[in-house]
Amino acid sequence: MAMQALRTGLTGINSLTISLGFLTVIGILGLTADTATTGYLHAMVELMILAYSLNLFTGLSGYANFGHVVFYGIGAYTVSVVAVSLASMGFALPTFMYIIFAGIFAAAVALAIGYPVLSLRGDYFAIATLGINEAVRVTICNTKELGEGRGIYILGLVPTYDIKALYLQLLVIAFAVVITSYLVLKTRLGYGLRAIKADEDVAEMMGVNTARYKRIAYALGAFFAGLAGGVVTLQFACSFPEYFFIGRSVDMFVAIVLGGTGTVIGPMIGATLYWMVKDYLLISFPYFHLIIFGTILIILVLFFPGGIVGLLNRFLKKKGRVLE
Amino acid sequence: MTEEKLSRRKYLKYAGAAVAVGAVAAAGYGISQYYQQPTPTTISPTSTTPMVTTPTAGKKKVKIGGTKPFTGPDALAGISEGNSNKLWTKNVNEAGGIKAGDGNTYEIELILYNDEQKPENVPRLYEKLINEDQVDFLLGPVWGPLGMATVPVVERYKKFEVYGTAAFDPKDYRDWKYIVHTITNGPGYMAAILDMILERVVPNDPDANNIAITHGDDAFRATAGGYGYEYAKDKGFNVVFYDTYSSSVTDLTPLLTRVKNADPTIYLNGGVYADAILLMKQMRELDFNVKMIWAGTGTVFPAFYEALGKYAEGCVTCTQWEKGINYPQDFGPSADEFLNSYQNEYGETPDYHAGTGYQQGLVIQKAMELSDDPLSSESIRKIAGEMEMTTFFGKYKVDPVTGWQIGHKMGVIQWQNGEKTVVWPMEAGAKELWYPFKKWSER
Amino acid sequence: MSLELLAQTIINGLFIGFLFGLAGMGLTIIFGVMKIINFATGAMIMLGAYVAYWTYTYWPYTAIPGIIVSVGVGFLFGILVYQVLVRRLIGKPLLTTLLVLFGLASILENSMLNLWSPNPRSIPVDFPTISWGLISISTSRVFVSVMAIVATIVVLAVFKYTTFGRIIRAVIQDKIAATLMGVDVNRVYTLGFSLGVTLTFLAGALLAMVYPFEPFGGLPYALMAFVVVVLGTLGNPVGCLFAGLIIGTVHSFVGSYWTLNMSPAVAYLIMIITFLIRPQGLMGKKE
Repeated sequence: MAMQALRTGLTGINSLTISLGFLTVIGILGLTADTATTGYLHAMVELMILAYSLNLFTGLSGYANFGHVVFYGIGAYTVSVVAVSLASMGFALPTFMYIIFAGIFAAAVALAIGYPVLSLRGDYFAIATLGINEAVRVTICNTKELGEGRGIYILGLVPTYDIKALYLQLLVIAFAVVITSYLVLKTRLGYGLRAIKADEDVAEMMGVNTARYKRIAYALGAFFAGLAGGVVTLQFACSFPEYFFIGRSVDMFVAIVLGGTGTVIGPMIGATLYWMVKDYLLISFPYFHLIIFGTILIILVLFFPGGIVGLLNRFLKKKGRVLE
Repeated sequence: MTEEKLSRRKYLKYAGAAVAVGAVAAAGYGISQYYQQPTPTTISPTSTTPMVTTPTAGKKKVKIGGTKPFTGPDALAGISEGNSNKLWTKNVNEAGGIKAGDGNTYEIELILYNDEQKPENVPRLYEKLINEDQVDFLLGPVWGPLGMATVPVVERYKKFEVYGTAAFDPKDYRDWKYIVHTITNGPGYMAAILDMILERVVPNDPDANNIAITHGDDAFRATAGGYGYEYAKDKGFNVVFYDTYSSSVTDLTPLLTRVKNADPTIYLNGGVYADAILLMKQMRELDFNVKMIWAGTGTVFPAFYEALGKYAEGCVTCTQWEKGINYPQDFGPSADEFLNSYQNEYGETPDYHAGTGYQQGLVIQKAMELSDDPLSSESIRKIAGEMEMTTFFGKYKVDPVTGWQIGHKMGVIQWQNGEKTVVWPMEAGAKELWYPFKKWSER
Repeated sequence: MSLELLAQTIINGLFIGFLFGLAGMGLTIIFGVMKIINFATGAMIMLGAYVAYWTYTYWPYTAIPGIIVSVGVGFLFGILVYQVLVRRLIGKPLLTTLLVLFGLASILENSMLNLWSPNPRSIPVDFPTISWGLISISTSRVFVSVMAIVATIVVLAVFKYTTFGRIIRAVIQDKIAATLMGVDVNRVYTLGFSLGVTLTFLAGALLAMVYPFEPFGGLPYALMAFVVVVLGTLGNPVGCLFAGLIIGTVHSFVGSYWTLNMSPAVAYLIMIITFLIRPQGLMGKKE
């Protein structure tokens, strides 16, 4: 069944091709237009990557990882720390290597803490991830080598700010995460995670190695969040503890819930729509935007649990097709 | 069959709501292309339109942009500074505009966005200001990390930026070419109070040499507090206690108990808003008496006095500027003129953030007056680096290379009888200093 | 000197702890009754504080009316929030609850910001402080702590001795059987949720007396409430108070003997250890 799904999935118009197509379009747009547009799209794509990274774990398995932003922050700090350490030893690496390190280190941390944390269920898991995020933030604020509250500043150790180059790096990561999401969804890992979402005990009994699948998905999500974090440090030429701000987690959650959790195209639709609305609200209603946003969030979540993809599927089901 | 019916009803409900959400999103996207509303606004926290002023036709125009936190932990400062930026724009435009060195008169168009005090908003908004709104000069944001976040953008596009209330750690400076600062930097905050103590207190009470220093652990407090500690040691103070506290701590009694045990004569805490109030309340709870107390920069706000009442009497704090500080200005409005102008426009006494906001504008104004290429960032930066002036805000003189403010001096005020009284520096019109701080039990 | 420091540290710890326990009380009750985690706890505590504060501004002699009004408003507010929002969350996945309540928190916090500005506020009460040598006890803190104990006792009494309490316990134990016996579960949930919100508002009202607060200041309290509730077993009011005291004392000792920087980190560490070695909390039975 998985093989058949994989086969039909790779051909024709489906969620993967639509997603990649959309990315290509905004990619070209961002790289060729003026930098203000690039800045706009850059932030949007960053949110997309974060949404996808969260979707890999939370969307598929149903485990609410409220502290996912911790990997973003860890990725960001990894770049700073590596850049500073290498500089003190007298050499530097090409920037994309820093980013890769960021992703790998974040994934390593995820694997390490995955063992204890993933044994928790539901509510406890959510609170524990929150606690981990805060604990990491507080620890960084107290460690002199990590810049304490001021952050680590690396201007001069990285190439000068160029929004188009940064955008390109984000695009590459975005392509990678979309394709990864598709592959995960269509293979045993994806089915295993969805079984876990439906009923973990039953899945366990059916022979699904739940612990391992959860860990892999958790680390995968962390990897991409870490990559995004790496890029942001390059963008600002510094890392601050504010990267661990919990509001970012909420952004990611809303994006995937709006689009449709556990789907391939969901985070893309969700992140795009959410970003456009939020940006508009921020600029037009500097004081009210969060009230409006909170209301929208509640309405969304209560009345559209399947997100936009869920909605579209209602139409498409009639025609015998399903958008994933 | 019933299943079909149910799903149809639900389907209609979903469809209807989907249309609504879709309409909102589409409207949002569509309108986002047209959000530059031409109507000028009055600034109050309930304003729903962005801060944009419209110049009249016929004059040359200079566009100045920036972001402030209208929401976020430093919203108090952000709103204040933004109000003042707007006031400066209004006052100058009403007087005919900036009479620049090239012979033309320039009317100011001001654009301010809310950056929510989040670093991730900075590139997006500054890219927008520089490339979409095409501003000529920038007004820096509030809060150190955000200020730092603007540096790569500003240096890339070579746009002149005037920093506002944003401290930075001098160790992090790396060759910025387009930025000048208006205020005394973070390290100077505690130093001002220490200087005041050296000048006015220690000669009469040698015990005042024994001080305790604590501070919060976020970017600003760590800079102000950390450097203050070094300065204190350099100047020969006997620091009997030094420690920090996490900014997310809700109760300071454990720390205060230890400070109390160290028995300092004077206690200086690098705090900001709520923790300054918390500190005072809990010192009283612990019956911890000292002869002078600096609870944090939040002391400067009326909210501090409102929350503490008579217990705030005698508290000192440093300030970039305050009503009562009178420098003989050679440019811009006098202190009284500024005070009246602000009071008339916004109905309240301006604090030092408002002063900073106005100063930001004055820096640009003076530089443009002296320049023969007044819209060029290169020219303005060069002139701003070399010029000197004294405004109501104090002396302005920066290092031509780094842009650091070296002329400005902070002041120290003390709450006396419900009013903020200037007690330092002496040349700014300082009044009598209340010392020692009255014991809690005697109030 | 050292003995007095120790004594003061313990006293500080108890005071801090009672307030933490009270902050978690509403959270734990709501979870116990309907298995929902109130992620808007922080915002509600702040709202309770504001209500008490504004009441005090009109009746500026004691803080007592503030507390009463806050409790009353909290009860009504709880009913309102339940009917409009929480009712639809029963049985929904955790993600839904999380986001809806977070959205609510966002709305509340930003409304408070727009209405009442970011200025930190505090009720300037004039309770005396009693000192023996280097040890000081603030009567306002004593008052708050006593109120916390009273609140816990009242809650326990309601659950154990009133008919309503018995009905709630029946619903918790076996919802279906209770329904068959004629219990209106919806009404029970409404009142249960309201009770939780009322306690949360009470925590805010008392907090307003001893701490400054501002619209976004609820987050640290909410996080500590989580820690306390987990340690004290979700759903158990006595456990919550007890756990509050433990966390408060830990806070105090870490702050007094090490550094106040690390107090929150230590609290989170305790929470994580609880998850790992005793997830049912101190008072829970192993499942």
